[in-house]
Amino acid sequence: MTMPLLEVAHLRKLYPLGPPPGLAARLAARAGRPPAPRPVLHAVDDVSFTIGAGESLGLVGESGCGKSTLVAMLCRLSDPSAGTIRFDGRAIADIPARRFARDPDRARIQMVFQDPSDSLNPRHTGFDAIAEPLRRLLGMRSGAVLAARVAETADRVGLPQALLGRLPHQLSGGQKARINIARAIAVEPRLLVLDEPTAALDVSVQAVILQLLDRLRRDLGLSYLFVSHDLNVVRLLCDRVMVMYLGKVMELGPAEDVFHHPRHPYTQALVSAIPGAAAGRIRLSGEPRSPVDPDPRTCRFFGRCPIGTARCAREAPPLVDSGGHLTACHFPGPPEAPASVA
Amino acid sequence: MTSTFARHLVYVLRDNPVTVVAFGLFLVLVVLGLFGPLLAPYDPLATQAALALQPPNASHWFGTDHLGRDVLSRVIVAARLDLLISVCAVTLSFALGSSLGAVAGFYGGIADRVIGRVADTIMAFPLFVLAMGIVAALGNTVENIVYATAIINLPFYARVARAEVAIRRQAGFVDAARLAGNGELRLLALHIFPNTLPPMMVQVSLNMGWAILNAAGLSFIGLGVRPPTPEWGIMVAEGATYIISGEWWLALFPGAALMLAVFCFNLLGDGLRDLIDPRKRT
Amino acid sequence: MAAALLAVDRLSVSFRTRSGVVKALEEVSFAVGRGEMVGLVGESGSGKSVSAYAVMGIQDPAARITGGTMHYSGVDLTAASERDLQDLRGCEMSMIFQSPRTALNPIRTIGRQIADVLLRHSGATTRTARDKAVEALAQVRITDPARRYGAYPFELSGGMCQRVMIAMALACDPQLLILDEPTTGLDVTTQAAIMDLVQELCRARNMGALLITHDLHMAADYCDRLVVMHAGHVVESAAVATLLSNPRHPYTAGLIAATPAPDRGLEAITSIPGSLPDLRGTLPPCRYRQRCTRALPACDLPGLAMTELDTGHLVKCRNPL
Repeated sequence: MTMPLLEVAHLRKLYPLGPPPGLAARLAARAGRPPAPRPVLHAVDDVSFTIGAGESLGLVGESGCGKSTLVAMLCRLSDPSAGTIRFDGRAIADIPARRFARDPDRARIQMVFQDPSDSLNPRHTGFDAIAEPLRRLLGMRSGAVLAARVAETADRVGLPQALLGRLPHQLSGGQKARINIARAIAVEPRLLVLDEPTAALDVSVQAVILQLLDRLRRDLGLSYLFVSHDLNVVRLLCDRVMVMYLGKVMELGPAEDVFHHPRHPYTQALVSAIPGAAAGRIRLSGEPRSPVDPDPRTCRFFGRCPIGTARCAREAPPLVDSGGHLTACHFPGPPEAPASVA
Repeated sequence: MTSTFARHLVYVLRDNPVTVVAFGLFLVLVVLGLFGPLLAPYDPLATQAALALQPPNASHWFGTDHLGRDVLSRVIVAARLDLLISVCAVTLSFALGSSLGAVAGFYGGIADRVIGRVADTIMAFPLFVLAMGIVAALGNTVENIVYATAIINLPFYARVARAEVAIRRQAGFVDAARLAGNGELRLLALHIFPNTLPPMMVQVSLNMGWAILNAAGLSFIGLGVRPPTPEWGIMVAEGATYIISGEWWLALFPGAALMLAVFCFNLLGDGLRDLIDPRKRT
Repeated sequence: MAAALLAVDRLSVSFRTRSGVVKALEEVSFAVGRGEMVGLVGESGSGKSVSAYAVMGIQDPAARITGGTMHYSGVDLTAASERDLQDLRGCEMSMIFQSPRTALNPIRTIGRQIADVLLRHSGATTRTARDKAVEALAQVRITDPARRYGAYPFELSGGMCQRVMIAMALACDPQLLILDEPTTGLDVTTQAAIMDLVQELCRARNMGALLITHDLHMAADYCDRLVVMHAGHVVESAAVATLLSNPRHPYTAGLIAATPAPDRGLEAITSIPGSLPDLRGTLPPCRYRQRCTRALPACDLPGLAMTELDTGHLVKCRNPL
C-alpha cells in the first residue's frame, strides 16, 4: 500500500472559554489551591482520516461542526491542541502556524477560500494576487519569468489575461473565483483545500467552476479536501465523503455509498433534507448539544437523533469500519432499522 | 497610471462639489505655504510707525497693526509656519499612533492592553492643558509645539488604527496572504495596513485642522512661537486687545485665515478617502 | 382560480443612480392566489427582491415605480396612501427577510417584539398581547414558549430566530406572506424544517405566499407555480411540474441544466454563458439576447411580450424550446 499524502490522527482543537485566570487565582494556585477549571469548547474532537495522492475527500457538516477549525489546522493557519498531521510522511502539526509561512511545505498545501470577494486584497490586482505566492514561496523575482508563469496559470483557470490588471471590485464573482483558484494552484501544491468554493456564486457560474476544479485535479494530479454543506456538490467532485457533527466524525465512506446508503442517522437526515431529494424527509427535532465540556460518554447527536436510546447517552459510539465505510453509531443502517434495542 | 489617477480625481471631484471647494482652499493654502514670502506685498516685519492701526484700504487690504506692519502680508507669510507645525505634528502622530494602534489591533493581548491604557491615560487629561504642560516642561520652542501637538493627537490615531486593523484581521484575504508565504509582520504592514488608509485619511484630515488650531492656541497664550514672528495665533492674541477700541481688522483677518484652514481640512477628509479607496475607482 | 390575492401587472421600477438610470424591473407581471405558494427564481440581480419590496412598498428611496399596477385583494397598492399601506403591511401582508438575526431588534426580547406587532395591528391590549405572543411562539414549534418569551435574539440559534420571524409575520393572521430567501445562511436540516413549517402554516391558514429564492430545487419542493426572472424581466411562468419537465424559455432550461441534482453527474451540469446585462441605458427587447444560443434576427425587433403557449404557461421568447 502506498503512503497517503495526508494522514491526520486524533486531531483536537479545544478553546478554553471565559477570562484567563487573574492574578489572585494564579497566586492561589501557587499556594496549592488549583482554580476551578475553565469551560472548554471542543471544536474538533479526536478526528482521524487520510487523503491519498490524487484523491478527493469531501467534508460535510453544518455550521459549528468544526469544519472551518479543522481546515485552518490542516492549512497550518492555527495550531492543534493535540494530535498529529503527517503530510507526505512529515509531521507538520508541531511547526507553529506563525512560522509555517516560511516552511518548505507551505507551497504544497494551498487553499481556496469561501468568499471570492473577501479573500482578495481590495488593493491588489489579479496579477498581484497570483504573483504573490510565486514571489514569496518559489522565489520568482525576474519580471519576465514571473509574468509568464502568471499568464500560464491564468490560462489554466480560464481567466482572460486582459483581466489580470483589474482590481477585485472590477471583476465578477466567477472571475474572482478563478483568480482565487489560480493563486492557489500557481505554486503547484499537492493538496488543495477548497472551502465552499462555489457557495457565494450564482448557480449559472457554479457548473463551470466545478468542472474547472475537476479538470485541474486530473491534469495536475492534485489531492482535494472539499468542504461544503451541499451534499449535491460534494458528490460531484469527491471520491470519499466525511460527515462531521459537533467536532466529531459521524460517517466516512465512498461518496456514492454515503450519498445513496447513508448509515448514520445524521447523514440520513442531511441527505433527506437536500432540496430535490427523492427520499422521504427525516425531521430533526430538539436543539443541538452544547460543544462546551461535552460528556465524553454521550453521543454528540443524542437529543436530536430520531433513534437515540438510553445506551447512546451512556456510551458514545466509536467510529467503526465496515468495508471501508466508517460509522459512529450504535445502530447504523437504513433509517427504519433499529426498533427493539433498549 | 497617472492618467487613471487624474481621471479618478476628476471623478471624485465631480461627484462631490464640496470636495472641490475643499481642494480649492487646500491648493490656496499650499501655494501660500510654499510661496508666501514672494506673494506678500510688504515685508511682514517692517514697522512703519506713521501708518500704525490703519483700517483696510486700497494699499493695505487688511489694514495695518499697531506697529504699522501690513496685516495681509503677515497673514500670508504666517501660513507657512502654521502649516509646517501642523503637518509635522500630524505626520509624527500618524506614524507613531497608527503603528502602535496597528500592533495593538493585530496582536491583541498584552500589547493591546498596554497601548490601550497609555492612550486612555493621555485622553484623560484636558488635551490642551496637557499640550501647555508639555511645552512648558520641554521648553518654549517651535519644535516642542510640534511634539506636544503630536502627543495629544496620538490616541486618536492609535484608536482608529486599532479598530480598522482589528476588523480586517479576520478577513479572508489575510489568511490568503498567509498561505502565500507572508510572515505576520509583512501581513500587517503590506496587506492589512494599506487597507486601513482610506478611513485613516479622514482622521488625518480632521486632525490637521485640529493641529493648526492647537498650535495657534498655544501661541495665543504665549507659548511656542514668539513675536514678532508672524503666526495666526499670536496675531489674533495681539489683535484681541484692540477689538475694544474698534480696530477689528487686527484679529479678524488672521482669525478668518485660521478658520478657513480648519474648515478646509475638515471638508477635505471625505474627498481624500474617496481618492485613496481603490473601490471608488471606476 | 378566483381573483388573485396579489396581482402585479406590468410593473416597471427604475433606480436613479450616479451613473444613470437602472431599469431594474420592466413590465413584470405575476399573481399569487389564496392558498398558493409561488416561487420567484433567478440569479442574483434578476430583480426578485426588488419586486417583493415594491409590493410591500418598502423599496429603496432611489427606486421609482415608472409603470404598471399592483393589486392586493382589489386594493390598488400603487395608488394607496402611505397610511393605508402601513395598515396593510405587517398585518394583511407580511414579509420574512433573509437574515433573521439582523431583522430582529437585538435589545428587545423576542416575545415583546411579537407583542409590539400585535399591539400595533390587531388592537390587542397589553395583557392579551402577551398571551397571543406566547401562542404565536408555540405555533412555530418553539419549545417552552412561555419561557422563551423573555429570550433575547442573541440567545437563540439562527433557525430559532427565523422561527421567531415567522411567528412575528404570522401574528396578525396575514393573507399574504412574502419570503425573501428565508433560509439563506441556515443549515440544510434547519432549512428543511423551516420550509416544512412555513408550508404547513400557509396551507392551514389558506394563505398566499411568494417565495423568493435562487435555489430552484427548494422552490420546486414547496411551490405550486414558479416565476422565472432574468435581468428585470419575467421570462417564464408555469406550474412547477410543467416548468421543470418542459421549460420553454432558454434561460429556464439553462438554470435547470446548471443545478446539481442527485441524479446528475458533473458532465451533465452546464453553466449559462455570459452574465446579466448592464441595466443602464437602452436595452434590447430581450435581455437574454446576448447569452442566448437560440437567438434569431427577429429577437431584436421591438414588441416582445409574454405569450401563453399552454394554459397557464407563459413565456417571453420569440424562439421558445
